[in-house]
Amino acid sequence: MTTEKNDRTNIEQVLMNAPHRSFESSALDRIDAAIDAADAPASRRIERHHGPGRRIALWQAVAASITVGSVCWVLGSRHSSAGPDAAIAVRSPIRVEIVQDVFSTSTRARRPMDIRRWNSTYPERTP
Amino acid sequence: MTIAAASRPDWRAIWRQHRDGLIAYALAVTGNSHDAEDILQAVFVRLIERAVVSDQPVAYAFRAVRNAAVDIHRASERDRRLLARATLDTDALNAASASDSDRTNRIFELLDHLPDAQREVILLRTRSGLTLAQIGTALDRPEGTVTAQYSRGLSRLRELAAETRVTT
Repeated sequence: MTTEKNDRTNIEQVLMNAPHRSFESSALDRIDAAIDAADAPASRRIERHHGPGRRIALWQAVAASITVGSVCWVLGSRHSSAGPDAAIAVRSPIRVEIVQDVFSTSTRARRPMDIRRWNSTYPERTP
Repeated sequence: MTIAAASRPDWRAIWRQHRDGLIAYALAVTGNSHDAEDILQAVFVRLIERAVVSDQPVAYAFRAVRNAAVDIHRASERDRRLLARATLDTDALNAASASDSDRTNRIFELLDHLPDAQREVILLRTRSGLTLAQIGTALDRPEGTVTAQYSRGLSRLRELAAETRVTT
């Protein structure tokens, strides 16, 4: 009985002490930033309800290297409907000016950029 | 019977205090860090934005992570299997002595042979650091059930380890 208890305790210890995987520190920083901004006053919040606001929102999100989830959040979209531009932008080592360019040439900021246009415009950025 | 008034928790403090455990659970339920990151961010932003009230905020947060993972995998429920190994830092494990590394790897493999309910309780207890009472609340199971699942799961792991001659 004692042996069984010791064995169980040892298994518990192995499970508890096995090294924990974590996120990259940049990902943790992004999550912390999003959580810190969650209830910020309106003046500090990313605009979510107007066209120009959306453009700025995505620009800010990418500038801050924020994750896909938060870009969807600023766009007010679900993950699957945020469009390829958001997904590519935040998962690629893309620079702010490129996103700025994409959105300044877009007639409607919210309209997802056509993936084919992305590929032809920024072939080196295609995942 | 007195019902305690629900309070508004400091969700940021809960994130900071339980971050490692939440990350372990999110990794286990999603199996990848991209979804785990998105889920944790979305869950905590929502909890703060909506000023969610709860008497058991730690358990509530874990439950919210679980529900968010179910949403992601709704189209393919059979993929929503808890992956114990997703919580392991394999680089650090490989840097450990060969015997420690082998033993840990084998025990994590054996975890896959447990029923989902037992594996989830064991993961939440050992990898996320929740109490059995918190696990009960997070999984919406009576504490007695959770305690029994934990105990049976460990016993089964011990048996499997003996059968496969893993030194504990």
